[in-house]
Amino acid sequence: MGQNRVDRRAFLKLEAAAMAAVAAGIPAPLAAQNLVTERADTELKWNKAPCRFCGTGCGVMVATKNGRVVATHGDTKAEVNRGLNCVKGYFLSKIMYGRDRLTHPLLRKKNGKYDKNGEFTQVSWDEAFDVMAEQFKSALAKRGPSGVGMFGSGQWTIWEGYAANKLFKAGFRSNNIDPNARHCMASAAMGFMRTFGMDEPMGCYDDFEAADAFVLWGSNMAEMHPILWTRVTDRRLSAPHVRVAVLSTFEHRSFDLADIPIVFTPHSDLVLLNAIANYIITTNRVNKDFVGKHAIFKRGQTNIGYGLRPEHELEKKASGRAKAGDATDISFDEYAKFVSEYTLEKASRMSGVPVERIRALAELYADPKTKVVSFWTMGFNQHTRGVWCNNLLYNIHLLTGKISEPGNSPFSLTGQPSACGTAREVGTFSHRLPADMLVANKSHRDKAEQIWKVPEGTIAPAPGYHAVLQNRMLRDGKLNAYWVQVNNNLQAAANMNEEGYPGYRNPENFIVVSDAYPTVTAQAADLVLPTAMWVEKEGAYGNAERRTHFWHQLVNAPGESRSDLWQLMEFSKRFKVEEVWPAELIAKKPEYKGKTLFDVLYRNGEVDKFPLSDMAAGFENHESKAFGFYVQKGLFEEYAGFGRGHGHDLAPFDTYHEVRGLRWPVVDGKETRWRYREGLDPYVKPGKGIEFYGFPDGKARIFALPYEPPAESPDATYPYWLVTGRVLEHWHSGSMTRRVPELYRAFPEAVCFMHPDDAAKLNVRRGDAVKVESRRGSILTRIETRGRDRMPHGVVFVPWFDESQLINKVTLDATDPISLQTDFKKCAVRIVRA
Amino acid sequence: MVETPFSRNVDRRKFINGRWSVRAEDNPPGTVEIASILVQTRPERLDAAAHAIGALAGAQIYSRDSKGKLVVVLEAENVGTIGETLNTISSMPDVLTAALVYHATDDG
Repeated sequence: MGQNRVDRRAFLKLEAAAMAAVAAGIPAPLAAQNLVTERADTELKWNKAPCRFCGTGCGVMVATKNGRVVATHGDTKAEVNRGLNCVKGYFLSKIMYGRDRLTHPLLRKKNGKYDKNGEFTQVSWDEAFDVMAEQFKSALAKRGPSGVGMFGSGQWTIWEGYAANKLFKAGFRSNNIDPNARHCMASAAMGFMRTFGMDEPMGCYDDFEAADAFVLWGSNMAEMHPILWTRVTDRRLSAPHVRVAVLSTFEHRSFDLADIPIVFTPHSDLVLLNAIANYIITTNRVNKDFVGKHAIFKRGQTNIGYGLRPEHELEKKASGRAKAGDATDISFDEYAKFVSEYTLEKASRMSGVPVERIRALAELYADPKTKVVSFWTMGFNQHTRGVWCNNLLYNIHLLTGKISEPGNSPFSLTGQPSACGTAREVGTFSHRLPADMLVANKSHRDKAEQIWKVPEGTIAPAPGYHAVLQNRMLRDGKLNAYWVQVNNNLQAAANMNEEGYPGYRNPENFIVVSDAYPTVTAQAADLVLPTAMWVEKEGAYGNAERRTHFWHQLVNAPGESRSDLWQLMEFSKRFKVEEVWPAELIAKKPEYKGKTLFDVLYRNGEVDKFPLSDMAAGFENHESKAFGFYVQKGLFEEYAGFGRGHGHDLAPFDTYHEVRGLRWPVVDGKETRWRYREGLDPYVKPGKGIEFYGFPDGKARIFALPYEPPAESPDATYPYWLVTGRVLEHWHSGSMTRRVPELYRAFPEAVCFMHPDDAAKLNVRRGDAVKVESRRGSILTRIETRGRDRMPHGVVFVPWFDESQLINKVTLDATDPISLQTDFKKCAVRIVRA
Repeated sequence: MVETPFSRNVDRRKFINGRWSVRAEDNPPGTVEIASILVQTRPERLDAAAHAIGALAGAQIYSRDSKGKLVVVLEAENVGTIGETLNTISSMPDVLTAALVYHATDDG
């Protein structure tokens, strides 16, 4: 290489610098210019994989050496991140190597037998599954299909979610399966379904470079989606006319780039959204041609309650509770009259935002020449009116026709790597089936039963227990055998004191947790199954822009850890159809007599269609070798049968191992970047221009929805709003990132961010210990009055990553009644010196 | 499996107030971690940011451009430094974004 004096480490540093320069599009340091091509010398084996963490879906190159991941870099060929990673990318090579990694099944035992009050004891997989099968069978015998359930994840690979969905909905005939994505983007999913009749964004990340304005509605992208934020920042700095508006209930890092910073009173986003619609109408900027052709108007049901237990006072008063999702047709004039009360002045009064600033925001949308991308995550979705927020934002984009074209894009971001790919597309929700289909719809059940080759009537028509209801049913002793995979729900779900913990420890219940680490949830389980993660298995994720991407197994999992997929399929061998299906159902498919669920669900002539010889050479594949066929390919191809030809088309399996992901629908080998627009989306019929084909009439819905108050607001006894959320350094519950010492040290413990005036009133200072207390529980933490988050008066923020400060003891399990997603952003607390 | 609170029976009080985190393994002696970071500042704040970053232990600036971009290379011996430095950079007032590009652990 002509640089003999450059020693190995100097070489690595030059290589590192050169890659960063390439990613930045700036000249590499002189000495580094020849280096990038010299990788063959470094004895590392490099392969692609998507990042394990958020929903952005960054491409990563992963280097292995002696069976271990030793290096990573942003994949320059990945369109999403173009060579960059955020700090979470740094943990990718470390998350698998925590010292307390679980390597053997652990069962609570006393005197050699399972005992709920026994100690965790190492057992074989055989013993683990024997006990687990016995418990599932006894729950099925006692209560039927409603006695068993599963809580899965937006971090499941596509085939894991698919195999689990099939095992529960077809095998056990129980719809009590729900993903943790319920906490994360159920409101976004329901918002899409309600406005467009079809889930997921119409646009993609290519919108960023075409936009003239960005509006963040309850999203802290700088900390939570740093790579997308880098693209927004690039656009803002390289095109000076671009404007950035950031809305939140407190000031965070994303405000550093804001041209229009807006801190509003919690829950008043509903008013701001309606006020912008009213402003567009009253300033005559409605795109009448677009609206006339492509939208109809609806008045939504009101007084819909808060998803609390039915005996709660608030629910008794909620007259619209039972029909929360209903709506009736209205005219444009009726809609205009409905929003007319939402003046800028009223919005200003209710939100605390100056009129001129609301006008500046409204003008971004109203001005026909400004292309606007709207982003949102948990600020909208974790909201007792989260679906409404989503609907109201689409109203604004639809009234102005700013949708489905480059740069005009209402864009729901996701927090998990496969919230879209697995939770939503595979339909692992308690009410859904793959490809946007519903268990409540007979023709959808017929279709699923036909693809799954199970008898008509196998799938139950009623939605099962959703996330919050699962915890309530555990507590009430009605859900008795429960399996949790790839999430830490005891820490993540609201109101753990009154619902989660008592539910897990209820003597009537048997709780199984599959995880790589002893999380809070695993601590409370009865059986813990050690689980392979990320590149320890072959996987597929789907990101927030409809991009499906794959990776190969690159290393082996430690000890006896097994993937969630292996666990699901192996466990299914323990059940004969006679043990789970009634005789009349088996009579419809007598050939299934005496077979196991494994035979019926996975050895069904489809899933087992592809031989081991189809696997790419040079990669391990534990599950396929264990079962004797190419499991991932078979599951994926069967699953893809749901969506092909219906607007959810996925490419052939093998293609995805070659490319850096493709955005569905993939038709004739081509991905779709913008949906619903002729010329960009192959599903739009010629001559239509725009077609929202999720509904048979091809039109989107504009909803008249009012402001309704939150479930709990501050009062004299509990005078502060509590907001919970994440921080840059830790991902979700911290079960992976907190095992990496750097992050642990950088942000070791959660704190309570508070305005200095509020702290002064309480006579506490930065660093003082305080108790944060609600009507449900309390935690001890410390006051932080400086740093990245600047709180307004009366609002405090406590992140939820810290398992020693479980803020979900304090939060309220109120949900959006339509999406059934919890509002983690609003409850009332008091704060006292500890 | 190492001894953690997890090996013992679950106790409600311990569970609610407990601390379970066990750290990742430390690097063996002689190991070095190397990372490169792409930093974006407002162009007019480039010099100030470069100055502040250059003063951090183990950080070197390899490239810069007038649009406010900096290429920073970090080198550290123990597991405890690179992520922390990256977070420190991310949190600096003049820094809009800081992205990790390359990260390697080198034991040879």
